Amino acid sequence: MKIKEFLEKDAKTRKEIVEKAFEEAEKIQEEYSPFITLNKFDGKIEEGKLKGIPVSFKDSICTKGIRTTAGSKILMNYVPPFDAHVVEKIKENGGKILGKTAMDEFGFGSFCINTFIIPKNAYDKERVSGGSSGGAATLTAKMSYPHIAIAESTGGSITTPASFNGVYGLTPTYGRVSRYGLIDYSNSLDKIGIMSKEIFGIALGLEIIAGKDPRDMTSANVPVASYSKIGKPNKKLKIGVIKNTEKYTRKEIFSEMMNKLQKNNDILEIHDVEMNTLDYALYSYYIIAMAEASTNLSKYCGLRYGLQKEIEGNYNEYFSKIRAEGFGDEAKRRIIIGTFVRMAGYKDKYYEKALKVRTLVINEFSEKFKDFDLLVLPSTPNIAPKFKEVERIEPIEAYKFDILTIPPNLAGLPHLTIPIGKLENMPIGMQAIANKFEEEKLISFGYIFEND
Amino acid sequence: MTKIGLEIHVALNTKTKLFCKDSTESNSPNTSVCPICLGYPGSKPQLNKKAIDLAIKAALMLNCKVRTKFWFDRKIYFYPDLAKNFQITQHEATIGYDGHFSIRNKEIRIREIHLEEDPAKIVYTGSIENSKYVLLDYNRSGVPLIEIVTEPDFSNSNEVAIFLRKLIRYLEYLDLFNSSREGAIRCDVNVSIEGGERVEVKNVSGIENIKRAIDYEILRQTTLLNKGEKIKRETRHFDETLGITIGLRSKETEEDYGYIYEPDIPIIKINEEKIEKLKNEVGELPDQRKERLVLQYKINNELATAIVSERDLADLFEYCCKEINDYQFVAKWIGNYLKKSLNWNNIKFSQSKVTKEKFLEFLKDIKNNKINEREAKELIKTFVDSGEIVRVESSKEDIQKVISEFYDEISPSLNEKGINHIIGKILKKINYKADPKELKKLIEKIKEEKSK
Ligand SMILES: [Zn+2]
Repeated sequence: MKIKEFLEKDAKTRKEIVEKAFEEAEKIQEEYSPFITLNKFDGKIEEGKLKGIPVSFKDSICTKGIRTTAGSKILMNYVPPFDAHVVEKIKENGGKILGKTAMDEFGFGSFCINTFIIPKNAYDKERVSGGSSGGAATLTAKMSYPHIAIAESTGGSITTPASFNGVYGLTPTYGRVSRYGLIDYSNSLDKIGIMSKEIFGIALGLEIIAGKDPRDMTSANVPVASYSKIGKPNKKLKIGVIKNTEKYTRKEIFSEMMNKLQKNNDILEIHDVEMNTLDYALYSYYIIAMAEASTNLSKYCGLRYGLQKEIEGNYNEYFSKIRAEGFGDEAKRRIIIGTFVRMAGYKDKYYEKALKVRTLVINEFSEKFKDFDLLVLPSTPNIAPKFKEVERIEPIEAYKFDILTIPPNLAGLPHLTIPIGKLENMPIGMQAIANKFEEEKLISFGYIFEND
Repeated sequence: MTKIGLEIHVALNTKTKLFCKDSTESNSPNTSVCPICLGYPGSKPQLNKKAIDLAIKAALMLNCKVRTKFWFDRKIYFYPDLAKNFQITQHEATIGYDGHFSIRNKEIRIREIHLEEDPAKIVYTGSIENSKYVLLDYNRSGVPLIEIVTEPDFSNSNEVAIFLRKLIRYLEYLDLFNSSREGAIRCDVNVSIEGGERVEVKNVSGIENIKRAIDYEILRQTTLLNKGEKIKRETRHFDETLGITIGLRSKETEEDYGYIYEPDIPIIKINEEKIEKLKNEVGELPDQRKERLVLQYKINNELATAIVSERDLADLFEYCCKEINDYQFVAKWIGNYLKKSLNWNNIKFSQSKVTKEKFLEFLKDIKNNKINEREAKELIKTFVDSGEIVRVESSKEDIQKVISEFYDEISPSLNEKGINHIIGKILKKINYKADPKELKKLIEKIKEEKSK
């Protein structure tokens, strides 16, 4: 059922639909495990822009009174005392919390396997859902009733799983949506975004959650457009296809993307572009993300909240025991690397240099947007891998899988992944990147390919 | 040659904490706390702009250069009093730098001044070395602190004490620090003597203890050197009860903190106009003002010192001097009687309910003999407390009754001195609530009657 259709129903019918949606979520959970925590429907249907639409939240987003683990054992039984800004906004608009979706621990992963509940791909249970917002993507693909997923991306955690599961995924401009109540992975890169089966769901969700919030000093004071009223573009869009991403991508994916674009050349003016900084973005990203993550994770020490144990030994011995037990391997790896790159003697070589590279990436994008409305590239280098394939993968290879999603994330630019078909019966996608705060263009662009 | 340098921590006089809206004042432990100052997952710092203004004023007071662009850094170390196991501080671009502050004929260079959050308060259940457990009070967590770092320009503990007293006096004058609320000033003290390494004594509280710690360190280091032993670079703790410093096992060196930029707080830009405005608000400093008062109003140094102990008091003095040209009289009443009365009530003039206008009227009444001085000295006590002059005239009957008690003493041969003596006793009995001239008339009447 389409969202617009649902919104037109009377309250009684909507209530019945929402009840069914919660039941459906339970069934999906049994088969695909997209949830860490499933919520119960309270039976109340409010008005507002959502009128009762079930909304799922990635488990790194704090929900008052509902367990929030960020996919980590260290927060296994943590129940936040406050709602994140986005949760408040969804509630104010009559959205119903469907549950908390599975993710790689603190967002550390590209396949959603670095955690205790591992969701399966909506198209093939042998395959990964994608990381880190894997639960959100699988759920979005499987829900037949109206549903919007609130997810989060640091380096590709919306695009990758959305693309693997054939749904839309929008990562807004850094600062477009308040991060208040988002459990930090890397504060200068974290962006709360949306997944939906429909472009309209993306637009509606963004309209609700975007805007300045004094509780997040990095949230931007830029007016929020009526995204839900936008349609297809009313003038020709100038598109730059990032040509040098071709070498990282499976041939069939790249050519299918070109096909889809060419088919719409009545409304798209298509050019090839090269991005010189592309190859360096990956390294810059991982250094910054790990440096920040290693500091964010220091607060988990077995005091006040989270995993706690019998207090034995001194403080150092106590928190070391908690952290040794509470963090998974990938979290430990990132703490170690992240701590290393910011230590005196190495900081200039890694952390400071990575920040300079980020500036170069941002500058190159700005240059490009003087000439183009949107830049387009494939969403992922390949289709979703099988669980048994990723088991063998070395961490560095796994990091390299993010090569296509990292550039816009590192630059804090808004980007949208759009499903463009299938390869070996698995969904594939392309992403469009817009200039800062030009989410409208992405939404218009998305409508071109809906039902295409 | 002995070299001593200080890192002085001063809690800024703000109503709320540095990164949250909690009050800086609280009665019982752990009541002025929230997710932000407890370091809960998902919480973000929200900068208190007032604290920035106060820190800039302190920098100006210390003749520092003020940066027009600065930011915050994360200092990462694990300690039970740190809610996030990192402290938000300023490492690279501090608010102020390159200043100086003079004591008597010596100028102490100020290396830098920066703003940071205070950790929670640790309450040891024994000594620092053998406490089985500690108690934490997070009311202090997130209170804005300025850290003033001096160059090692002091040669003995006396200079340090003089410097700190003047510093506190100045900070209080500008309302940047409230000693009655915050209690003692806290310092890290660096002491080195010729031929030895620098030794840091951490977190010494109160001027007396700071003096003791320095004297002990000089003695300890000199003794070691005389014995031919080496003084190693280390961090020590001052035991207030024993009056000695003790080496701490863990040593944190600068390099271990792994500073990164605080990504949740955007760069702060201050324009020149703002700095000018704050400079005007700082205005004339206490010692300059004292010198001017002495010259301009020909009042003595002691009274001038008392008058400039508080800015509002000095303002009151100059306000009253506009209307009453007996400056000695005004100085005596403000610098002596009013000041004593404020001290007695343990409040500042600004905290009392007395207004400038009312106080001026009060002084005029004394000057015009509407209130006699002795009565006024009594009245000022309640004036400070209630803001009102509560003057109760004794009734004629009461006066008659008291006079009759002295009937026998009033002999026909009583001289002027004798009469005044009796007047004094009567006034004392009725709390000075009578006009001495009236009393004199009454006494003379009795004398006349007796001589008949
Ligand atoms: Zn607080």
